Amino acid sequence: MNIRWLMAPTILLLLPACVSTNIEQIRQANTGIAADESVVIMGRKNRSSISETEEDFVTCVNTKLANNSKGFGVVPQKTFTDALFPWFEPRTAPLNSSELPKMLREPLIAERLKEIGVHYIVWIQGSTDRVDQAGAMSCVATVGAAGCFGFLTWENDATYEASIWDVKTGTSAGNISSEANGTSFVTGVVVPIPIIARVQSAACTSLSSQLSAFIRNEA
Amino acid sequence: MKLKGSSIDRIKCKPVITVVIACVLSACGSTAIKIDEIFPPPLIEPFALHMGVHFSPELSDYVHEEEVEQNGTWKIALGAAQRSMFNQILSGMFQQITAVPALENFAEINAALDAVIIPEIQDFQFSVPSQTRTTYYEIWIKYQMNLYTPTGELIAQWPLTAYGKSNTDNFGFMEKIRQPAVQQATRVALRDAAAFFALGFSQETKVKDWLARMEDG
Repeated sequence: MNIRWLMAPTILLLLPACVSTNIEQIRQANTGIAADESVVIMGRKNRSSISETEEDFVTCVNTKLANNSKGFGVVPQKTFTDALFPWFEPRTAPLNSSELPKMLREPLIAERLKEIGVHYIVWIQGSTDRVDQAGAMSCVATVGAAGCFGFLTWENDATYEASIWDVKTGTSAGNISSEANGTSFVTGVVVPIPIIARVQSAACTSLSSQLSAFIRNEA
Repeated sequence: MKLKGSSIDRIKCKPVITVVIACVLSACGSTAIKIDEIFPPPLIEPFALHMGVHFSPELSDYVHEEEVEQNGTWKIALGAAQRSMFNQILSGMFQQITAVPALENFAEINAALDAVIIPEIQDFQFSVPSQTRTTYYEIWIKYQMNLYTPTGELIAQWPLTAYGKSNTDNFGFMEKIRQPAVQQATRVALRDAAAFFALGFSQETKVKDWLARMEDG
């Protein structure tokens, strides 16, 4: 009986709130990747930008793309930046694909890229922000009793853009943008019950699956 | 039997509780940061030069200590990490490097060298999120790089600035953020200094001229 009472809020916790996702893609060139080639997912960390792409979002895209790659490899960002140090640091990395051919003319860089088999560099820019919030909740605890009363709601907006650079041709292959938004709630009637909209996770899932299809040149 | 077990548990818990209280107190009082980092070797064609490098005690033992309002005292020990960074980057930039432990008898010691590099730290600044109203810990470091001939004449002198930041949002809700966040920002700043030094060395006008003279023989 006790277990049932505990299970109810746990099940509610697992119930996510609705998230709407929108994906757009611009293809500039044909793509394709061999089984022995790989992709690297990079978060933009420009010195001047106030906000930078969250590390856990980059890690999420990396992991989901690796799970959904159907053959090609995904090189971790740290492995890539260490192997090509100092060329892909926040202050030295190329800012747009037009700078890539010059960089690829450096024999050491071209050779190292060949060694690690990177065919595409994917730059991710964007962030998840709270755009609106309302409500209030207060919690009280005394000896032998505790409870929360109130209602909280907030809306999160995740906007990310992936720029795909083809290392072999030194050109931009295209862009994919992923937008997700959703509203989370916490209702407090003695026990606070959160129903969370996993906005960032939804943006990550849709972006990584679209990336996988884009790189493999699937419709 | 049960009571005995409980008393043993209490005794075992005492040092744990003491450590927890000490940790909490130290987080409020002062934060000591030590940077351990293995920097990657640079992917650049090394100059065919035998370079000497001298680290002054000011650079080797550098500790930045600052009291930040409502954030306690911060102690950031940068010395060892700076040495490690410069050693790694210089080893990749030049065919041979030799440590020059002292500057006395400059010419005698350095006869076999093409030049000697002496990095100096000039300024170190950092900010915490409450100061900038962002979620970032930020680090700024300013070095002065000095390049001397083996006989002790100045060839070139140029500033090397570095910047690093770390986002508190990248750390878990339950994680202790202060130390790892500053460590990460400092590591990023040192890496930034190394990257910019490696790629900017031959672009410095006076260094460029000197490299051209060395090539001509």
